[in-house]
Amino acid sequence: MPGKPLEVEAAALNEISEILKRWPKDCPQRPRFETVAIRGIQGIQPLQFDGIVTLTSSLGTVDLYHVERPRELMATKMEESEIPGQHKDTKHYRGDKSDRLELTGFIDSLTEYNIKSTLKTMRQGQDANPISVTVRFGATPIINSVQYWLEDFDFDPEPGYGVYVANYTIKLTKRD
Amino acid sequence: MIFGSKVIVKVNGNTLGMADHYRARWLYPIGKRPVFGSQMKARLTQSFDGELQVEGLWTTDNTLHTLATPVSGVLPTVTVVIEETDIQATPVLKTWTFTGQMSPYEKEGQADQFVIVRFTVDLSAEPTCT
Repeated sequence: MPGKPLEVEAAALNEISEILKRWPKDCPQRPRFETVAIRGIQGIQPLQFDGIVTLTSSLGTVDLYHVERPRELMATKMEESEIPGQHKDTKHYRGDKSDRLELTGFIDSLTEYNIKSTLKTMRQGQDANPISVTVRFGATPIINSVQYWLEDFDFDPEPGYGVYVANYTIKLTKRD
Repeated sequence: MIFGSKVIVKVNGNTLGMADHYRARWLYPIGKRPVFGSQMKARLTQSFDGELQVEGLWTTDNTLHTLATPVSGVLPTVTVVIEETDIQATPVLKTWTFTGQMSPYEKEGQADQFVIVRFTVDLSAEPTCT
């Protein structure tokens, strides 16, 4: 049965193994290499994992594997005029605010819990070392290496699980 | 192979004379959480839950209902041991131990029939088999 050239298959396998290598080994959701490799060889969306969000700067890299909502907020600066005798708002557009990105999701392994300290290190040095954010739907980026300010984030461990399940919210503002 | 007549149910050490039927069920539910960018849900193992149901004939010396009554406002912990002996030439005994609290307790009667007693033990630990 004819297949793809060996080099193409080898390159695909290499790409898959690079992604799997970064996946926390203690994470119960970690895909099995065989399953992913077979899908890759068959040409069925080889990189179709959960949507992955990557925050990276020269101070560290954080991969978020179980993002539930990468919420984007596009706020504006609107001025309001008060006109005596009028029961309405008169607005004036004064420009866009920097786009906000609010990531909510959860982690479920100790290794993933450790991103807390990496994020703090990256946040402390972000004046000189800007943080780039990539948000991917499977393999396709919808935000591709865009610089953001890392602001408040929280971890909220959830009861009822025997492993490190914690919900997080990470707030970012685009660095315009 | 274990035959029904070789099964003994003991509640807090006392043998239940007329145990007729039991059913135990326990699980760690799987919490399925959707994530963005994937049609496959993340699967998270949740906390333990289980129950043991025992059914038997009610007898006048049967005082199981007292175990379903709170003591100082708290339902007591009940230990139910089920001994199962197989029917090989050299019988092997397996002892299952269930702990939990009795809730609910049921008693059912019908004209010209025996009175049936049923109780459920809400399990507080995974059963053990020795």
